[in-house]
Amino acid sequence: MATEFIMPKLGLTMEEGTITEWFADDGDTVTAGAAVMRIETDKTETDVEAAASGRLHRLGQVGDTFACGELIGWFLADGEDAPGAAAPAAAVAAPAAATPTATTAPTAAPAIATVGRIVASPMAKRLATERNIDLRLVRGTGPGGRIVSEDLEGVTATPAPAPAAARPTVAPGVGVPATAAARQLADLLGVDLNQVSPDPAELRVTKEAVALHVRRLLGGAAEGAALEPTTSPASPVLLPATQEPTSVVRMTGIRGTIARRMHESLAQMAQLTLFMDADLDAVVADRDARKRVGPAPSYTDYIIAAAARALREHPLVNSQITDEGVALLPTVHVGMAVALDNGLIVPVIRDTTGLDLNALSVETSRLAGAARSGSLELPDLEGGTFSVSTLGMFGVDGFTPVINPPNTAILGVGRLRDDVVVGKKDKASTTKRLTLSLTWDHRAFDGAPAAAFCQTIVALLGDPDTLDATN
Amino acid sequence: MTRKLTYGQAFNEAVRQAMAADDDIFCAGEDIGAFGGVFQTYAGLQAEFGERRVVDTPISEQAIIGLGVGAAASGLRPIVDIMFMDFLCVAFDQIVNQAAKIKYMFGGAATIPLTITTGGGAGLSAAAQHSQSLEALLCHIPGLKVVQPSNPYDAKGLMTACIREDNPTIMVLHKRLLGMQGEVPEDAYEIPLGKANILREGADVTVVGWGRMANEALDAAEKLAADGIDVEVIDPRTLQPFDTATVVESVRKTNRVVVVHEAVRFGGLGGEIAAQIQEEAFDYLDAPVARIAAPFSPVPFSPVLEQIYLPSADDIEAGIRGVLARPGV
Repeated sequence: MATEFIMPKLGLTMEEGTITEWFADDGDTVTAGAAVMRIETDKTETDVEAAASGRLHRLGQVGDTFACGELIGWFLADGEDAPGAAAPAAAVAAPAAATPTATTAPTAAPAIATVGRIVASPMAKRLATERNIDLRLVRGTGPGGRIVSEDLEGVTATPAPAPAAARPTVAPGVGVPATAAARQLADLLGVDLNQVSPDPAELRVTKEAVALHVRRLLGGAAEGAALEPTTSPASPVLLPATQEPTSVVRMTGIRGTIARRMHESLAQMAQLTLFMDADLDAVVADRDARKRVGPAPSYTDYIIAAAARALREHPLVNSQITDEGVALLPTVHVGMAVALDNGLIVPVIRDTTGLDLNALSVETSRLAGAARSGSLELPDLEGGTFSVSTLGMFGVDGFTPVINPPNTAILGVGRLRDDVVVGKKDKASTTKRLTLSLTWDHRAFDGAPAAAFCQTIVALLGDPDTLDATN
Repeated sequence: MTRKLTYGQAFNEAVRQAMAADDDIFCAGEDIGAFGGVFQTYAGLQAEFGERRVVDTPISEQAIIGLGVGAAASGLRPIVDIMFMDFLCVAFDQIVNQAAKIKYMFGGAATIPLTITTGGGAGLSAAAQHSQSLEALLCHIPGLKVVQPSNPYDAKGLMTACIREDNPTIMVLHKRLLGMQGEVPEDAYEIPLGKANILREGADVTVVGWGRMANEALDAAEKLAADGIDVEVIDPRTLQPFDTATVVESVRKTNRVVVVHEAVRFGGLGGEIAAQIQEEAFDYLDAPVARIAAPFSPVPFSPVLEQIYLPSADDIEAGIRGVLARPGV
């Protein structure tokens, strides 16, 4: 009995995984529970175990990306062959809707799993269009697997799939003048371009025209709410490199996630940043005292602890914007930005105010170590309500951190420096000081509460004993 | 009615018949009179028509073409010969800036019914300065018509058409084909310029080749027929204006194309033909348009190297197998 090997969903926000390594070769016998491959998600790398014992039949290669629930292989009994026709079913089906339609693929066409671009000659593409053949179900016999016209001989038209199951081979409105972005959007939304009024200036259908069309269709009923996810800023048109690049960092995995989320963050929120100095003489003294008796928290730990307690006093800052409005979140989970060789990751200190300084210090050390060794578990990465990002070690005083959605604020921490202060009677002295950079979402709250929140942090840092108080 | 003539004899007969029919026609070139031309293509013409109509010239290509341009502008119908195609370069100002332009610059008031004949192609170990195939240079010039026959029948018919043409034409004889025998009608006849010839019909792949390469393509086609590969061979005959329509029609039938020329690959006519095919028959292609051509190098003098340098029937066969390849079958 063949057992499906599907891309697991390892966390609430996981949508897809990319295979980074196979631990077992195609055809190897594996036992249930043994790690058979490593995958990269938008947050981390993790090992995936065999769901059943048997002979491993791999459908995915290293570098392939699969949606959660998509078929990536089989565990087969001795002498058993991989169920052939079912393979494209999973590959074709959209992540959300695995329907049985594609399992009835025409038997004349030995179907293979086709992911990504279909390589077919212009002639084969034209014939497929004319004869309504889904090229994903045709095996290419040309160089590199290119589908050529001969491969379509005897292949019958592909039955139209159920509307939700898969995109039609030929998007409706193929002959309609339209921009590539408009086609992509129409394709995504299942909009027939023939029905969309072209942009009067451009004389062709644009992305905006498709959006307008959909908004009209939705009318007042849905208030465009359903449109929200698809009207996110479209990918800008990127120019080719102005020089031959020495190398190209692919924007997949963590890099791609950072790029997408940071861009969305700035595009969707009303972000602005204020700067406020905090005097750390008391913190320095407290830390020196602790160092004399054992391990001491880092300066960042003090600031995380102060920020967490300030969040309790200013619940507007520990919030999230939802359809209903600004939702105030009862528990404080502070995320801490950790720089990695290939990007940045924000593990979450759960229930931050439940930890005294020493416990907090132990937890931040664990998370930083796990982040750098790539061994963070997905629960370590989910549920943050606020973030702290430190660039002080690079000599930075102030900067404008970008909010980690769906939070409404993030705190940047600058370099600890010696400042000269002029006291009473113009007497000069020095103080240990750093600059806090608070970016917040002006949709959620205004400048005065943002400044008040920072003042609370500054006050707490002036009295480190308060930072050991737990819930 | 037909008898066999060589390619060179067929050319010669076209000139003779045209001169007999039209007193305005005269020939000029190096050694074409008493000697009959270095390749004997003008043999016997001076004896028949006299020194005034078959003129031996000094060794000055510019002067030879200039003589032809001036005579043509003044109402005669000259045929001027440049011994080797390579030497056209010496007279490029006369060809490109004068012969090709005059009709346009005088608003059609002057025409240049000039025929330039020359010998092109390699294969005689004549070295880098006497072996080139420079048709791409000529085809780039608006105002010139360029032909290259691949057999005796075409040599006579195309030469007759060139002489009767009222615009400058360049007849490029392939030196390696001069001795090729074939049936040639005795009466004068004309092969229309700008019309390609389907030398062999086939269903699987189209090969476009001219001059000696058309014959190499036919050899490759015969060999592949034994393997059940049905090759269509098209000889464009006229390279400028090029008969794109016939080639495109064939591609729509076969879906695969190989273009062959003896000229170097880079900047050769193969690139232009491939571009036109993708413009007009993109949706009919099952493989990229393949080009078989000489490497980007002067023609070697060494006979051994020259044979390696020149595209052959074997190279064409490999090219055809390449575009037909279906490793997944």
